[in-house]
Amino acid sequence: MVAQILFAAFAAVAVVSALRVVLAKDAARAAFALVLSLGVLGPLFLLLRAEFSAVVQLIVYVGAVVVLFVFVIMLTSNPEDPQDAQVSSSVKGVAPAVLAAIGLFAVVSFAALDTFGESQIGNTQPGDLVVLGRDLLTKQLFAFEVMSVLLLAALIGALAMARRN
Amino acid sequence: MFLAASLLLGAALFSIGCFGVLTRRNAVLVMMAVELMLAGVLVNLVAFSAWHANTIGQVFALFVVGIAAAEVGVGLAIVMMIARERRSAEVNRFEEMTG
Repeated sequence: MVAQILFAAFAAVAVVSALRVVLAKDAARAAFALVLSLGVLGPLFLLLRAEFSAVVQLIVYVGAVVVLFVFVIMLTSNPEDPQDAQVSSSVKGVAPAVLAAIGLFAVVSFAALDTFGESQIGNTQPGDLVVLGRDLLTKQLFAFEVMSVLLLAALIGALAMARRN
Repeated sequence: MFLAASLLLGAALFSIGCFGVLTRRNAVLVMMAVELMLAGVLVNLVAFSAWHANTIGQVFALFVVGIAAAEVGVGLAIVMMIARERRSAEVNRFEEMTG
């Protein structure tokens, strides 16, 4: 019972913050709303018994990716153009996007509720950190190594691009 | 009960992110909306991992987070270089490659 109330509260905060991200008038406000929206998913993953994903979400996603966003907003915000961050203000521009978003949500949620509406998450633990670590280094080893190479390539690429030459 | 609610939450985050990608004019804010879409996918993956009582969904979620971090790093480097040249990060002005 408490878990359901907590889940509903976290989900509501995540959705409201996500709406603030896409509708904020300011890039900095959008960045902080993103912090809240991604950050509240951490405790939500704890409710789904995914401790590793919760911590990874908070450390990597909120602690690194959103910080990158804040840095780039600081470096690229243009004080001469205050309209910079706003949503396009014409109804012609926004209406198809609203319809697309609502349509997408309707289709996906209908499909999800139709298939999984009565399924329950059981009480068995999905597996703790030991099982996950063993999986990563034995069964998913190839994907793990490929991701390391991908991160190295991204690092080198970003450095090469951002040098002032 | 949590499975359906998690899937709805993932769908909501994904569609809100989709709306943000389609309407924002600043390139950095478009990328923030892409991060919201990836967060919706993460919620789905973790929910299914709990439903199957298997860790494979969480492994997939870890890879999604890693790829999102790499994409944000490279993408923001590109946006910063463009903004440095043109003094503006508005996507409507990036039109050299259109017909």
